[in-house]
This record gives sequence, C-alpha cells and structure tokens, in this order.
Amino acid sequence: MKKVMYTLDEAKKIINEGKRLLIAGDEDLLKQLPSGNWVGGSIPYFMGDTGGTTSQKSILINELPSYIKNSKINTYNISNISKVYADGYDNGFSIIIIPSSSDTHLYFATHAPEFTGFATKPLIGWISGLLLSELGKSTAKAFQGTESKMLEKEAVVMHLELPGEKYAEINIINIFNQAIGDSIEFPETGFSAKEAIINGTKQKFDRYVSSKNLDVKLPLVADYNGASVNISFQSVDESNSTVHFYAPVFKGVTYKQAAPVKDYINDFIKLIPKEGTENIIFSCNCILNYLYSALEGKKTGNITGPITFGEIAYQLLNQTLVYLEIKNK
Amino acid sequence: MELPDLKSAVWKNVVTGKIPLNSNFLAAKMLISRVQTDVKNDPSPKNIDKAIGELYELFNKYKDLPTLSDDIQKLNSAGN
Repeated sequence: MKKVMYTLDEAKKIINEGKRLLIAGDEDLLKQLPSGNWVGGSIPYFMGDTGGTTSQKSILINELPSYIKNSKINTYNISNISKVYADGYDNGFSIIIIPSSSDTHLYFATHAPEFTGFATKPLIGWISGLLLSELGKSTAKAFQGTESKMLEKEAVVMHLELPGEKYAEINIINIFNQAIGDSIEFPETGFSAKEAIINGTKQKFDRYVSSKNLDVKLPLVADYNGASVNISFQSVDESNSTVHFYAPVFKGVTYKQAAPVKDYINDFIKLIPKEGTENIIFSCNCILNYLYSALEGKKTGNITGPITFGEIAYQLLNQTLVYLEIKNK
Repeated sequence: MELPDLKSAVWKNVVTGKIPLNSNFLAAKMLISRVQTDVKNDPSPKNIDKAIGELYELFNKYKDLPTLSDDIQKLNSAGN
C-alpha cells in the first residue's frame, strides 16, 4: 500500500518537487505549505497508512499520476459553481473540495443535479471540516495551492485531463440498504423538513420520527437505479417541528430508512474491490461512518483518504465512501 | 457499441421509469435518477424530450466503455 501520511516538512518537500497533489490536513498545517500544484481541504481525520487516525500533526497527500496530460485549478462560489461540469476536460475528471457550511456547500448540495452537464464528466471530492470539538469556534477551509490561498466560502476544483487511452470512473461503497419499511417523500427539496408524505399520506415529519422511535444514526436511503444514496439525519428539533439533514432531501425522490448494520467493518471490507485497488487514485469516507462505527485504529482494506463532512460523487452524499479509478479504455 | 436511435421509444421508457435499468455505471445511475425525478415532477412532452436528450448524450459519450455494454445491450433488446 502506498504511503499517504506525511509530516509538514515532508509535505513541503513533495510540493516543491512540482507534482500534482491532493492534500488534506489540519488548517494550521495547510497554512504553512508552500505554493505549488495542489489543492487541499481542512480535516484532522483520516483513513491513513495504519487505519483510522485523528491527527493535527500529519498531512495526507494523494500524488496524482504522472501520465495526466493537463490540469487547471479553478475556484467557485454560488455565482459560477453551476459551470463546474462544463469546465472539466472532455476526457478527464475533476476533484472538488468545498468548505463545510459555506454558501457554496449548501448551494452545490441542493442544485448540483441541475447543473449543465451533470454526470457527463466525473466529479469527485469532499466537504472539508475541522476537529469536532472546534465546531462553532472555527470554520472549515479549502486551499488553492498555486496561489497559497485559503478559502472559507469558495470551493476549489482541480480539473485534470487524461490521455486518450484512459478514462476515469467513480464508484461508491455504501453499506446501507433500504429496509422494508415506510416509503417517505418530501414536498420540497432542502436540508430540513417539517412535513413528509409517508406511504402517500402527508404527516408532520418530526412527529413521525419520534413516534416510530427511528434510530437517527441510520440514514434515509434512496434507490438511484441500483445505487443506494444516503441522507443522514442531523437533528430533530421538536421545538420548531423540524428535522434537519446533512444533505438535502429531493422533492420527487422516494426514501426509506436504512436497515440496521451489525458489523460495519466486516460488511465494509466485503464491499471493497479485491483487485485493481492500485488504480484507485482518490477516495474519502464520511465522518459519521468514522464515529458511528468507531473506525479509529481500524483499517479499511487498502483504501486511504480523508474522513470528511460530506462526500461528492457527482452530487453530495452522506455516510458513503467514494473512490475514483483510472482505467484503460 | 451502437445505441438505439434517439427517436426510439426505449429512451422515453427509461426516463419515465417504465424500463428499469440498474446500470453498473454510477454516472448513468445518477443521471437516470435525476431525469426520472424531473419527469415525475413535470411530465410535459417538452420536459420528457429534454430528459431523453441528456440521457442520450451521456450514453453516446461513454458508449464504448465496457461498463456500459450490458446497459446498451438491454436498451437495444428493449427497443426491438
């Protein structure tokens, strides 16, 4: 397995070698990195060389393959993020990092499926975060390495062009499946809901969650033609009769709550590809999986990458591991 | 691999959910679900045509990838 965790001094040296890099680490470390051909995001949680790790002293670096033909780094806010697919190379892929809770995060989450060219070019990435004990005291960041710019409100994207004989393919690993249960739809798209249509009948959603005694560690799951797409519960605010989520629910999509998972690590490892993991050049996993499944110190096969506040595989996902492979046509 | 003609009814059957297409290609799963939701929310002929156009564009771009071959075979079978 290729080493991915480095000290600050090692990271500086690698950047100065001029390689194309994807970087994750604590904000205080990333602020000290030299300018170079890299993009990064703040986070102190990793699937590292030795397994799940929390560290404010180590930096995770994914070195991108040398056969990549071209690359460009753009920043996006709510006025231009709709061009993120159109801006990508025809044969290539794009890596996006968006600071958690920024306007760009919320806008992308709600509108990405409407963007021109949605899903026609591979877009993968993550929502950056911070130490959970710092929530409310500090903010997540993205980093544009070529100008050593720290971004609090904007997303950074590295668009990469592949040679003609290769292509990029994104996949997800999601251990959750829909339980045999109520069908839930929402009258509006959004990060919160007051009402839902349960098996065809409109109900107050907070009351439904309470009366059914739902385990809110288990996400709502939509079946996207065979791909299970999760929406994680954030909180149930009974004083305002509102249920909040970590990703938006979409009007017109049918959700069911996930079936319970008995053994996360073993279920997860069973789903990791057994062959070709050397072709995986980027992956990330969700902070909720890290917490709920106690991933600290445990290895997730040969998969490494940041533990994130949201995963992006074309659109925002929750409680999912996403990865990108480069294959030959 | 050749795709069914853009005018084939098979595309309309996919975007309206009449033909299930559990693709192996994540991009196709995501886009099919997006256009099916669009059509469910607005089943006007104009919106259906837009959905078909988007889906055809994706399949046409990636039609030679091994990951899509099963889907294309299924589309061609359903279109005959």
